[in-house]
Amino acid sequence: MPNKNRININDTEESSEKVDSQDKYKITGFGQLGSKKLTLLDLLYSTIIGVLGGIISSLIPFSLLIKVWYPLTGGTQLVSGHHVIWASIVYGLTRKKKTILLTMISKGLLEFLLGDPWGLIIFIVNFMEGVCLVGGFLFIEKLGEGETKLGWGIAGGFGNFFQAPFFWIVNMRWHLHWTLWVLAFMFAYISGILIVGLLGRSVKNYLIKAGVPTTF
Amino acid sequence: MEKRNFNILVASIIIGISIFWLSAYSFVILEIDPFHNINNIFEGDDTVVITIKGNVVDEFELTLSELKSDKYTQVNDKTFHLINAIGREFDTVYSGVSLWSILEVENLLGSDASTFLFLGADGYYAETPLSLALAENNSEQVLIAYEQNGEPIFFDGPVISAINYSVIPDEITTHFTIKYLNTILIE
Repeated sequence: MPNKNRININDTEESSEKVDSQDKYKITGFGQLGSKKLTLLDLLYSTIIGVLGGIISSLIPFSLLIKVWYPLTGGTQLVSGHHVIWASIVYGLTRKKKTILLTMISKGLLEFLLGDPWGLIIFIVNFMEGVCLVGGFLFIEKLGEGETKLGWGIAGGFGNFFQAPFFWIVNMRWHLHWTLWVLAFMFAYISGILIVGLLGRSVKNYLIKAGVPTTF
Repeated sequence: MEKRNFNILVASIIIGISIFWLSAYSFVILEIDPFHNINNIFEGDDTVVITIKGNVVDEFELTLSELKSDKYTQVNDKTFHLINAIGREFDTVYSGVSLWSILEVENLLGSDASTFLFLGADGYYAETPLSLALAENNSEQVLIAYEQNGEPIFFDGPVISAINYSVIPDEITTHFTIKYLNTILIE
């Protein structure tokens, strides 16, 4: 009969290898629910999706969609959520609010480098949109709606709302009729709900189902 | 139905109704034609794109092909210096027709007409009316433009208003660059 107290030499070697590898390498990516530290995968998601968003925001004329079926000025706010959806997708994959800011910073930087007419202001706007989206997610978590469609919708609305009043005020459009102001702001929030919140949540769910690794 | 879902439904209905009536009010008060853009896309150069009205002898309508005709002074590939609301200065090349030449050739102006105001089809309008003397004295710098940087204006057009910075140096030039321009109001 084998002696239960006998030390297995192979086991000891394996465990010492594990300790060595943990000293040399950081654990990247998986199974870190509750950890606030960013992993390599978090950084990759934020930068890759941020750059993708920056290219799409800069180069695709989404206003053409609106021109045909919504004739009022400010109607483009109805599709403005596409600027922020990238951050909500990354948040869904990582569940870390820092990645929202990183995504929007990458996106803003790329838009600036691609020659956005607003110059450096576009970078600040992207960062502020990220801050508002973080605020939105914090708010809905307090309400206990962190993973529901309603929660994501409200958070997305917050995320997309900042840019509308900002640009209308910076553009000094005081002379325009008040209904155009109100409609533009309402559309910005609704676009945030539908595109940033609901569409972002469903894209995130499909990505996870398709096997894209999450980092939570 | 759960109370939570009922609240969502009520909020959605309230928002929907608010948007419907605000849009309807905007269409009426700003005299917006909801089909303006669709007509311009599908009906080509023979659609009316500009209406000149207000203190004029007769309300006058122009199609895109009429705007491009030799009857009026055409300005080709002229560089306009512009400044936007945050002080950024840039140049854009426009081709278009001189506003003053239309007013002059058609003898449109009423007896005491003194200003003009650009209005867009989307409810956007220029910040303030400008003196007609500016259009007369700078006839090739106050344009109804149909080409920008050598390309026909599609996304923001078919025509937009264009005024060079030197004509209105104290104003934000881009506030007078009206996309989807469709009305010129003479007062």
